[in-house]
Amino acid sequence: MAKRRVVLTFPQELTERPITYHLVKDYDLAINILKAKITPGEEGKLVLELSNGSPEKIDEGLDFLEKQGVIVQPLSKEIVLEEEECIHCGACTAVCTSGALRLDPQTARLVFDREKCIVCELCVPACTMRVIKVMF
Amino acid sequence: MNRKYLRAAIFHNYGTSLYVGLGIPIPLLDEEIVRTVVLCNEELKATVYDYGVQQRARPALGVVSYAELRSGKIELNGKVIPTAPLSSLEKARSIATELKEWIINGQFYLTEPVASLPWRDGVKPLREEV
Repeated sequence: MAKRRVVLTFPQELTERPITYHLVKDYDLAINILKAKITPGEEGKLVLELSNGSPEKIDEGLDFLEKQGVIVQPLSKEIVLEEEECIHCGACTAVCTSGALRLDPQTARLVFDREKCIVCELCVPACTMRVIKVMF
Repeated sequence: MNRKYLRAAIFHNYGTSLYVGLGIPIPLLDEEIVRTVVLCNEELKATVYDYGVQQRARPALGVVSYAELRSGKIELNGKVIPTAPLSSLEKARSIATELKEWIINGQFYLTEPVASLPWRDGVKPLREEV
């Protein structure tokens, strides 16, 4: 099953129309909202994870969004952890609300689950060793 | 001395600091010491303070155990609050393991003190920088 993460930018005139709903209804995609900032009358940003469809279905859905005037970009930012420099202090786990960064209860070592990461970047300043970085 | 156990650190909105990993062997000289060293996480208690209160005599919000703190959340005044450590249990364990190996291999010796640690009364407060 294909899975893709995209950043959608909704121009001002689109923020009051239901659009992502069509991804579900017409393209049979499962959408998971990772991050959203939508204010009616202003530009909107949505980070989505699309799944439950073939790569073709996802492409079709994204084509539809572009035709509506939504700017579609792949989620290319990524959090990288320099593991050999990490001291496993756990400071980053305090701010990681998505649960991507956590300490293994047995080994007490930091575990980074990239799948859960929503690239909110809160861990970057929280890291006391400065070994967590954002990659573009 | 090993870089693994001595690392420069930055605390956001506070400043620079140093992580110092130190291993201290505790000789079991009497029953009292044994009773103390076998305490488990459930029996070790910590007082919770609100560091948002800008005064040295901060009011205590409650008492929790290390087991609760390590679970990732504590309950305080009916509210569930997430918890996270700031010191490394992983490093502490690796220091303890290394020290244990030295002792077992007969490489760790007790000597006369080189100098006594500076001693002064009272607590040196940390001032917050914003």
